[in-house]
Amino acid sequence: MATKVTLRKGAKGASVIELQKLLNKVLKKSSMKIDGDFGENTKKIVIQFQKDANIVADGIVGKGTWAALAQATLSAVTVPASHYLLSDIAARYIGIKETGDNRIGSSEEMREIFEADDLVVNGETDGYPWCAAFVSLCVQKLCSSSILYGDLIPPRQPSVSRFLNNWAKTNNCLIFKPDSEIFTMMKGDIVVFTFSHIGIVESNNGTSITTIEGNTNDAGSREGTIVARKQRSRSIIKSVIRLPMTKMGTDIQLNDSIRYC
Amino acid sequence: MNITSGCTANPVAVGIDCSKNVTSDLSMPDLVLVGTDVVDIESFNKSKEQLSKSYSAETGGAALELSLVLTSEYLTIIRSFNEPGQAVNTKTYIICNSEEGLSSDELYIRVVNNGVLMLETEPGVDGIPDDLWILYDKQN
Repeated sequence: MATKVTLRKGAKGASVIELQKLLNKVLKKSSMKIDGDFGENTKKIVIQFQKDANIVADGIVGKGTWAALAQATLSAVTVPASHYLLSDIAARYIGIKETGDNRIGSSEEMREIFEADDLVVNGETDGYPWCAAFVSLCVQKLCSSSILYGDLIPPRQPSVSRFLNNWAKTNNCLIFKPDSEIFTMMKGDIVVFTFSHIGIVESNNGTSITTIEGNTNDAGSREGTIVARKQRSRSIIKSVIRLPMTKMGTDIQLNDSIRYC
Repeated sequence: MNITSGCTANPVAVGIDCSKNVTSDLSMPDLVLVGTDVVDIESFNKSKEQLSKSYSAETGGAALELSLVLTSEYLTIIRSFNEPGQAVNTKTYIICNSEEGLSSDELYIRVVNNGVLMLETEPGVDGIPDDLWILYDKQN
């Protein structure tokens, strides 16, 4: 399959047909003619996709655009068990609780969470808000257990803003808005809230999102203390992070997607 | 107690016109951030409690604190936002003490039982929403 070659205006053939089919699948409003001819209209639609995907919008389909197409088809076409794994890892920690004031106490799992970043405050590894440390831990475990994410340098971030603005951006994560017309939030995505908080998507029924979050509120409490499952409105979600797969994972995803188009 | 008008960022109160009423066209949000939960503001009753000197909140990824100094004319509020491993972000608000309400162009406050609800319309930092009240608990 020749889908990974760089395509630009003027290209013709089977790879262009596959590209056009993928774009029609991903862009719900696109009904591009499938003619195998990368003309002005195909370029226009590629640029539209690139803009929505937050990548360089030059109309040339190279490695980055193919990877973004693979990410987009995760939710549109196939059931990616490997992507779901992040949420399954997080679910194993549900109910794990601090002892108050963000302290580990005697919990081995809480120790794992706080040691997932490199922060030490006054000689202590705990004692600070830990939702980003929890997500860092889950991504670390994903990277060590799934070959499709083995290339990713896992985060060790205690800070939500650095997780999004530093780690996710420099590691080629796909970052999109919750109201994106192309990318649909799905199990295994990471959500950053409009306030300083971060969690992992467990499901999306179209109207509300179920997440698994660290340092979140127990029922009726005023302060986060626990790893818990939460129902969330998309209105309080600022950004969605989708982890990048290895080249092998991207190829597998694209080939699966094209088969279903 | 009601406090109104004012400015932000500069802790020096000189130049604040407390005779000017704050007229707000802002559509006030009706949701409050309580820890990491978002609840309806109707859950909170206004209180006539005296303001305390300090309040705090935690949002899952950050600790927030308020330090208050009240004089007969002004209320000074220093808000700090602390994400672990990051420099602390602080912002100082000075608002007038009047009968009109606890608000300025950039800051709205409501006193509730054992805390305050605070809304910053221009917080200037990622991690503090400009469309949600935040519940801060009173510190003893």
